[in-house]
Amino acid sequence: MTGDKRKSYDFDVIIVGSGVAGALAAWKLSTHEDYRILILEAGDNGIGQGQRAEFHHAMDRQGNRGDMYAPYLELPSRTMVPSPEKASAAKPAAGQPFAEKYYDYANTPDTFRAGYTRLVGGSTWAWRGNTPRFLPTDFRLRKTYGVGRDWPIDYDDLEDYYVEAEEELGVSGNHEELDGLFGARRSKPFPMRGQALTYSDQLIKKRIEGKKVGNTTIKVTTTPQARNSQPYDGRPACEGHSNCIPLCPIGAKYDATVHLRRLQQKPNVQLRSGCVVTLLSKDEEGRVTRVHYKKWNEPGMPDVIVRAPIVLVAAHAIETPKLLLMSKLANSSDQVGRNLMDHIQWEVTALFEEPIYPFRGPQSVTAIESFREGAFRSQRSAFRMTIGNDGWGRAGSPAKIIDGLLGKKTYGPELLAEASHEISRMIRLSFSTEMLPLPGNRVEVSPKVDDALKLPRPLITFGVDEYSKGGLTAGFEASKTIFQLMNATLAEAKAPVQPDGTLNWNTAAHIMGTCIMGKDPKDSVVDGYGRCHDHENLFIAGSSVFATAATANPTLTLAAITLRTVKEIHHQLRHGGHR
Amino acid sequence: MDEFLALSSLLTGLASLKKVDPLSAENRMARDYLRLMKEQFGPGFDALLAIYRVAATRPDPLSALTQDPGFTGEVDTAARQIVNMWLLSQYGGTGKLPDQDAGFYEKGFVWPAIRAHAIGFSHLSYGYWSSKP
Repeated sequence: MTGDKRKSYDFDVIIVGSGVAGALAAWKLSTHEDYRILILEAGDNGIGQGQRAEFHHAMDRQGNRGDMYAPYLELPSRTMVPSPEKASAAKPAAGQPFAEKYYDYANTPDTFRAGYTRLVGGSTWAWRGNTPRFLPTDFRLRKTYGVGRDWPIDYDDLEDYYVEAEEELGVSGNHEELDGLFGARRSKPFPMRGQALTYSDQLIKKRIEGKKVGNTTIKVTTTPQARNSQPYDGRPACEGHSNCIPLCPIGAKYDATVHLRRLQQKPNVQLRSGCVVTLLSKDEEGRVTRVHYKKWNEPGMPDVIVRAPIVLVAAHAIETPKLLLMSKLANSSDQVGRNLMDHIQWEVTALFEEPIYPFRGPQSVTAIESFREGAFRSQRSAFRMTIGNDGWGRAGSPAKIIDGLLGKKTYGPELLAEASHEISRMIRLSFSTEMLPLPGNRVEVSPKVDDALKLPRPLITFGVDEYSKGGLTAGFEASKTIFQLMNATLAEAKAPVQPDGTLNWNTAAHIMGTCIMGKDPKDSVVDGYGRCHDHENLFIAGSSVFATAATANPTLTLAAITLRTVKEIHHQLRHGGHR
Repeated sequence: MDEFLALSSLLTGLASLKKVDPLSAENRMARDYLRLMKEQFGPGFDALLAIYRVAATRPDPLSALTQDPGFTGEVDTAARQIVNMWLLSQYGGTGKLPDQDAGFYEKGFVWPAIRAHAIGFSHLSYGYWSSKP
């Protein structure tokens, strides 16, 4: 596209969403050329240290720790642009109302328990920061195991971008532990060494390293994480506040504000917060160049239209398909909103023989990657297991333990002695399974238009597939065996899949797959570059494009794909058309 | 105030609360916690104090207090609130009243007992977590 033609638009690129995908895309584009970029964000919070300090102080009020929304509850944007704050609740009994007030449900087999935040900086404010890569077979699941889908790109297509993403996000990790993991080669070491093992990790590793669970040999490795193990990119090393979710108080953990703050130095890049995009529409030439938004934080809440030759939607995997469906775009395949996935997760808790002193350091430093691959994947999901450093995680905070003791009328000197004895030995293993992309699990546009801006809510239909259930059961059995190997006493070992078929599960809040990537325009929404099959100038970034969920946390992979998408956008802006 | 501190010490097992320096943080905490108890849990707190006054004269005041037939319902709730304030600087969580910050979260007595810092408030440097505390 010629420069003159581009200048006839308000911007060169409009990006919807300022989370990791949107912020990283804007930053990287701005380094390719001095593009005029507009980022539109529904949330309306600051991105500086003052805002971080304010969020930090709000955490005093969160009661039982670990609520990903706790620091953000007093933002005005919470009422204007609601998010799914109670999503983790299970499906209520027939006739009872759903806890969640944002997700709408009709005839759903289960609730969709993954939440996200609508903030400047997106959900990265509240993420844990774990950044493992996908495995090569994760991109060709159908070809290898006959289930799920294949991506139009392979691990090798992404490897360079993985390296770049690790540098952009600032990932700490130990190259030698992970290079070649199930064929996942690494062409370059991590930008910094892995996090120091916790005291508990060291004790646990000593007891289980090299031992067998069935045919699988346990190897405890340091999880790659976007958390500084040394000063990096102008941010400090982790100080171990034990609070990665819901907020790193010092910014040692990457969040998208890192790139948004860098962009403040770019005069041609604008970030407009408090702007809810309500519609994308075509121009006279049939190209999706118009972005309609409502500026809710201005008097009269004006409706505004801006234009650009390239539109990139990076509003996470619920808002992105909702916007496309509201706009009646990109859906000739009828796949927009379908294939909604999460990592179905469960935890098993135990008491170690001796004090291991959790709640000191990052919430989790190590993982067992050994269960992520195998021929079993043709039958049931693999799983990825993490070792917690936060007591029993969701199952038991110090407050909950104290409450339990008070319930037994334990007062006086015994109270703190017993609390300390229990809390200091708490350990959890968590495992995340892989969901298959199923068309019936989907996001639609609800007929209810009852939020403050009179916009429709997402209507969700969701159920956990048999494939994931198989992984949950395998993860549960493996966890029990591992606790036996370390001679720990099981605390709560509720089977995720009960004999009567009822299911216990948690969300990993990894929302994926609603604008799925594929080669065939008839059964996918975007191509391997994130470009909509139906509209060559409309791109999607974020985990909504994932064709499979794999077992790794999605952020690094979505960042790598975003970097690849950005390169294509740059090429298209320079040369027109696509490769 | 002295009576509140003595009751707090009995319930929590924290001997240091028996005698508190008037210029200390603990004194400010006690003042605020006492006010919150009166404001938020008045009837249960009054009843708890009444039972405590009798129990304090017994050879084993803690058993006398917690095994008193009246140590139930609102009284039990009031006792739990006092403990939660001192250990976690938190009150509420009763259904009617969601969890509330009592103002001194970082100074909760549970953290030194488990050899940790208040979650979210480390004052230590990178890697401290590798060593036994």
